[in-house]
Amino acid sequence: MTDFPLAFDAARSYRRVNVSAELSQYIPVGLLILIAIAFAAGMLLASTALGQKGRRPAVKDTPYECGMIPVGDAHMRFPVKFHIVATLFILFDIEVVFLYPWAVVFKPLLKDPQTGMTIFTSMLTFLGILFVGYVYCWKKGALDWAPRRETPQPPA
Amino acid sequence: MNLSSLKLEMATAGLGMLVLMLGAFTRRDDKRFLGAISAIGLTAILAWSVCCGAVMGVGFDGMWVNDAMALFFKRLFLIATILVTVMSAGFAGKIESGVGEFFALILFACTGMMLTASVNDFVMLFVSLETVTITFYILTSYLRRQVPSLEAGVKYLILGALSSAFLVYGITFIYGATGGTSFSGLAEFLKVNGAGGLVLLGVMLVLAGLGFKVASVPFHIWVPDVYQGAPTPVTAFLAVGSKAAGFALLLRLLYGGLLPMKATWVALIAVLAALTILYGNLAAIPQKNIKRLLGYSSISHAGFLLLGVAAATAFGTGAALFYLFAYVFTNLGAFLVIVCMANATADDEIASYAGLARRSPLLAAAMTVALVSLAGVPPMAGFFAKFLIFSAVIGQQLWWLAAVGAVGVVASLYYYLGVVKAMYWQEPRQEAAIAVGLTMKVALWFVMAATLAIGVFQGPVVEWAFEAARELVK
Repeated sequence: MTDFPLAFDAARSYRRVNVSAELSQYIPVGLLILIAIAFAAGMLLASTALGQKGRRPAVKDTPYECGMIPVGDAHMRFPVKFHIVATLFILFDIEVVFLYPWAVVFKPLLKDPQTGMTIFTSMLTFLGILFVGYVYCWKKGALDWAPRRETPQPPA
Repeated sequence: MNLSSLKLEMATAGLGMLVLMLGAFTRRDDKRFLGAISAIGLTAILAWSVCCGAVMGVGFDGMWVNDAMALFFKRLFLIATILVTVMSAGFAGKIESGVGEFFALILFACTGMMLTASVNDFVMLFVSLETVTITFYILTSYLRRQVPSLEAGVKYLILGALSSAFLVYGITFIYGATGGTSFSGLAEFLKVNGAGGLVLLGVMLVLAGLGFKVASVPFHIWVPDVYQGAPTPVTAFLAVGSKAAGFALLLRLLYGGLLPMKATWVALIAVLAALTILYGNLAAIPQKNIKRLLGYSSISHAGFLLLGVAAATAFGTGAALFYLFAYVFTNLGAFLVIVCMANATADDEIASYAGLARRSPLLAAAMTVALVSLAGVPPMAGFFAKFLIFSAVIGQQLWWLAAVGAVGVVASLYYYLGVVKAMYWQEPRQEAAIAVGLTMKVALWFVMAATLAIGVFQGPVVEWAFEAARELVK
């Protein structure tokens, strides 16, 4: 029974050291929280101290003073070009997603001439296909924001 | 070897991109010349595959197989796409905008189909199948101001996405059980551990996904509405190309990854084939719309093709391949007539085919040849195809299956010949002759001649199909 208190003491002291070491990792986070609170409070105080009082229209209380109205009917009409731009964004965004890992493994794989050529030509083919799509949507006017002006037809 | 075995597919995809660019950059209003470019380019690729463009072997770490069967299917897809392109050129007047893109999408779908023929890995299976399916989502809803076409597009999108979900879900189970996605890995696993548990669930889900693509009962619900609503050349391409692609994948999977559980899938496919034949043929009887009728008929033909697969011999597989080959010419012949008729009468009702023999003897003759061949009457291609399928089934002593098939054939005679009767023995609603363009005339004569020639001189095609089947079913 003699060694039990000893072991208990050792475990307690070990845990005490460990807990304080673990907590000390969070000091920067705590500091950040404090700075954030101080900053927000400071801004509010500064604006009440320095800002003009009296004029308070309802629009001042909306989340976005200028921009879209956050509450309303979701079934509103908006131009179809938003949809086209969003689709194109997704397409070409995914292109970049494929390019990043390729760029990461490219250099080590380049040392072997066989795999180097394979991954080089594969990516070139991929970009070539995307380029065809890019030229296509450019030519079709999908990238024009303003409506395309018709070229005046010569009188027949 | 790796990239060179993809030459045919790369050429087809390149042709598609060329057509897309030409469509975007030419100022001509009539974009039908793009159809001519597609057809000529595809013919060149077909000729290339015959003379020197085919590189045989296994590539990409076993994901890709170019063997006799792959080549058989690739040529089949090229032939089907050429005919569909010609048909689309005749249909182009009905397409409001984007005629150039229509041809380009057909070429991209063809590329996807050619990829399916060489699949030897579940990832390749999914990618090739989606290449076909996603292009078809666009093509089915191409007449975007017509409600039936949009309805067809939405239904195909939802059910296609559902079937893809089944497929991917099944693939995840197989991956989880075997630790890989290759067909050979699955075969090894099944040989050691037997079929059961999660891997069996995965296999069933994958087979359900493929069942959607070949339109076998009980995964056929989308067929009638989509076939009726889609633009006619797209319906034809769905019935011929997409279905053949599904069968290419099915054969690859059954004889690649699932060979160790052959006894199980033979029973499964036999039951599905019987149900599909009965449902397709019986439901076709009351149809009033010719495209819907051919939709149900395409379900029943999927059943006959599954009969050949269920025989599970080199003979049965060869018979199914021959059947597909005959089906391409026969079915596209029928759809060529539908395109010509729709240009003249603006609807697809069987009632407007009444008295067609007086209004256009050529169209009536072409339709008769096609329908009689679909029904399986000698001496047409369809007869010999059914003959081979039935001898394969009887050779395996599957008497009940042969009996179900016979019932299906008898029922099909009724509704196919009903259309023939309307064309020859009923009074036309109007007497005006129907004009057929020169290209369509040539295509109609060619398809008629091919349907008759394959039926009479079966030798070379049978040899070719059986050689492909023997290499698959060792």
